Amino acid sequence: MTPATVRFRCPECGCERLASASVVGRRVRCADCFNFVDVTPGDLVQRTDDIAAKGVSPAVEPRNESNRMTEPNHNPADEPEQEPLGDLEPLRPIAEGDELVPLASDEDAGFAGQNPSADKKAVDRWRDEPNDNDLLDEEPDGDEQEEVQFGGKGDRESVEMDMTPMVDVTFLLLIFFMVTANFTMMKTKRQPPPTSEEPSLNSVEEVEDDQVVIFIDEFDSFTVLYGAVDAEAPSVQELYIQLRSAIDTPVPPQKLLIKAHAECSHERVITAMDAGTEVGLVDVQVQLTEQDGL
Amino acid sequence: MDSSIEDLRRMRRNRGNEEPKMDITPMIDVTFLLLIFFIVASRPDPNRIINAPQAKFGESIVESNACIILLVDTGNPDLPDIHLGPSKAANKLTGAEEEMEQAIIDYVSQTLDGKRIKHVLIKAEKDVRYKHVHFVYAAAGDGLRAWLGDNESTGIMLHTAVEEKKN
Repeated sequence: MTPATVRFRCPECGCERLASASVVGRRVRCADCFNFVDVTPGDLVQRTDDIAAKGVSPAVEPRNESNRMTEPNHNPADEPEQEPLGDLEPLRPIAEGDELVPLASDEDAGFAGQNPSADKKAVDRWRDEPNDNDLLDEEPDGDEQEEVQFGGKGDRESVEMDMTPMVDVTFLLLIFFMVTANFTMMKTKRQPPPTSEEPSLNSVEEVEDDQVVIFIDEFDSFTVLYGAVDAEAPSVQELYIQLRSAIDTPVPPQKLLIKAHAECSHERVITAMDAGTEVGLVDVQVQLTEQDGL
Repeated sequence: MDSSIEDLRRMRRNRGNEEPKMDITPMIDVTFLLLIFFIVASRPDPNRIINAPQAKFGESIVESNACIILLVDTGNPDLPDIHLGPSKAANKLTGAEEEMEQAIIDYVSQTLDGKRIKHVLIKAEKDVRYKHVHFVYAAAGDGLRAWLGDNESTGIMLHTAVEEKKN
């Protein structure tokens, strides 16, 4: 297998570079100016063994020619200096074990084609030096692999604690307490202490003229009494309607007397108190009665 | 040129380590604050939950300054549970009606005596018959009178607990 390299010229800094044939058609970074260069298939391909051959210098390509290829094992002494383009070897991908030709500019003596010993020295110098061509490849070089194996980066990462499970549990707890939280405010209805020890069972006839009476029977139904109004209100909505119609007088009343049957529910009494407060009856009194009707 | 190559090599080495990582520390801090808030704000004691009637209008009092009497519906409309305390685990009244009345009077007068109690709060569930609420209300008034004597100008009031209605 004969290795193949591509020679290209960086349009930014003007220097010529060699790269693996596998990068043809891709963008590589110039080692001098670090600009990206598109390597076209028409660039020159040079054989490594031409350079490595003893006493044989690689074919010299004039600077103004860009598409040149050398034949394998050819002798530059027997060949004309310029070969026809039709005899060039086609591009092929670089294979494992192939030897890459070093990147060199025209100023390097090894590519001048004038001094074979200088060419050999240049190749040897390139082999001893850090391989700049590796920078053009996408695969990591041997130095990087060495760092991965023996470097301290992995040790540093293992020290860091993974907080993901803690965050997960915290969010689960947060959602649980948010869902189960009860923000209902407990409020109170104020009532003055009863002035008499006796239950107010016989105060029906003490109803004053300027107070609205809400009677709650044992079936939790309301009856609103005020003046000429005597209307039943089975629901809370109707209670509000009847209360508003009852107090719709030139001089609205201020007092509310709730006569609650002994068997009515506590909720209904609170509802009547709340309705009276909403319509503007500020003075609310509650009496317990065991009469079935007014 | 060597320095440039070294820079490029360093760039290539660090390329894999430059993944953007978001700092989640403030998020964890806020999450823990919210968690603590909801833990404190929640009511873990089921004995304190009372199915009180709802009302739009009411006033807020400090329960720690109140003498609380609990009326819990047991499903039997004629026999609610009466607890002398803020929890269902508190002292439950049993016996005849006169004994229960006297126990309420003693509880109210003794609680008001020597403590910074400013309210008498009756927490009754909404399905309790009003005659039982009135019974406790009258007994608590008797206890308040017993503690006051003839002086009724201390401003201590009876309160009935309601749940705030949200419209």
